[in-house]
Amino acid sequence: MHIYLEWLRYGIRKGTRFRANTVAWMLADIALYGSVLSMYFLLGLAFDQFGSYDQDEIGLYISTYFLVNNLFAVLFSEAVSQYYEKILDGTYLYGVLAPHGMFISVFLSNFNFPALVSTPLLLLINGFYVVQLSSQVTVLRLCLYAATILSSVLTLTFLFLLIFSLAFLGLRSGLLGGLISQCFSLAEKPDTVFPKFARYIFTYVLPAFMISAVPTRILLSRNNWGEALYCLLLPWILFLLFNKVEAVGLKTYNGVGG
Amino acid sequence: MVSKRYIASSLRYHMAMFLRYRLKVVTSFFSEILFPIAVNILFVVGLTDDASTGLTPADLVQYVITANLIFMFSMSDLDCVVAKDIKSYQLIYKMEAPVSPWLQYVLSDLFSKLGNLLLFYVPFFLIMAVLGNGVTAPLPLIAVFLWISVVLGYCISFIIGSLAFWLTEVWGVAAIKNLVLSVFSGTIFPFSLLPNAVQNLMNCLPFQYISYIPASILSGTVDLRDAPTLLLGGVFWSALFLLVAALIWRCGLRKYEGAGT
Repeated sequence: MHIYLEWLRYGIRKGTRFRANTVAWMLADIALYGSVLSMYFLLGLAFDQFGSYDQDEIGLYISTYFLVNNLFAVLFSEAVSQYYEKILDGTYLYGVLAPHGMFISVFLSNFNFPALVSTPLLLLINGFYVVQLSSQVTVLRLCLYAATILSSVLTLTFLFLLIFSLAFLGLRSGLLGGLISQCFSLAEKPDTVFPKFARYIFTYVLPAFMISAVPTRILLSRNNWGEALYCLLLPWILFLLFNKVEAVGLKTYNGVGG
Repeated sequence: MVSKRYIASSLRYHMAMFLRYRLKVVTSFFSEILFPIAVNILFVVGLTDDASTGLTPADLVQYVITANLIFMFSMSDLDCVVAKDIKSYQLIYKMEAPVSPWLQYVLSDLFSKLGNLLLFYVPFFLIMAVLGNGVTAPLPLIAVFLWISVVLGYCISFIIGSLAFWLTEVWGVAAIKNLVLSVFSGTIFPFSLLPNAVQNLMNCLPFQYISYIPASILSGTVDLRDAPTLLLGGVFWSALFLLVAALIWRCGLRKYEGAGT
């Protein structure tokens, strides 16, 4: 337990030591939320509905998307990048030899404190829209909403780990990761403005809408239970796939040592 | 005065770098050009599906493609490049070169975008030629507005990059620039969708000259009788941003110290 707390303290100290970086991150986050909310505010002056979402619902939708991304950034994004770099530069083996294993050492030592600074603001924005829509929300739905948010964060994590583990097989998965990141930026837009085939592909094949539309629809009681179940199971499916690819890749992996 | 040899060698270098990593070229086409444009098109067309906006889906597609391509061409990551050079010894070398640092940055960026222009933008121009109503505005007018857009983009980048003379990190400010400009320049949706009062407010801002005005002129949605007023506004803003960029650069150079071997 002691070492886990030390890693956490390391992440916090890293963020507080380089204050300029933390401030820059916070400014960038606020600019991101502000610009997107401004865009929908401006569009809201001309349109009453965004697909099937009214203005409060789209606020909830966007805040859900940002919350998932923020939690991923705080907990896992740097660790996932570190994982990929370790494969490329050969130091992956050091992680495997660590007493607490590869994942615990990489994930705990890459806690992203600067991104955490904007999490309270996001929770406030998200909470505001949940309260605005409280007439449609039940306690059970709220719990399921929270579970799907956490599930979406894990989906992102294991999806990127799966993609980056393809580097074991000699593929330049860094570029693929960039492409997938760009695809996930689609999730910021309301899913119901897109054609059905696009919605299907970006929900079930490339699960971009899993991080925004599905949790939002669950809270608003507009989901189908198939997609809710898929949202909860998807991280574990990706985890199994990632384990398999990593196991296959490690058989032929050459690292550095000395 | 820039020598032809410098231009030729810089051009050769950037085209070689562009074509060196072919997989990166392919993935950057999909992730930086095709996908964002496709998403914006589907978003705007889907949003205005059942609303009476006076614009047909073909008009919106043409506008979104034009605005996005102009935005991608005008905006650059020069702010980070300039900031990096200020933080390291590279700026001193650039200042010692016979070509001014600003010109080096601008030419380097333009040449690196030339590959994108020739290889990627052409398919989109073909789509617009098929879908669109053709170009009704005179070519010199289009060229001037595109020039204003590029000047504004570079000036904003220089202003932000020059902040590195005083700040330790400028990437946050650069991120703000990218996010704010993508909304307020009219890249995602045309301002003509907004109520008149809001449009008037947006018209007071300089950012419309980055995407909205050139794209509207190219796609023929702007009344050409408004062109002189728009031109005057564009010239004013680009001159102002040029002046601010030059002032900030000069003030920064006064306090700058660099060392190298």
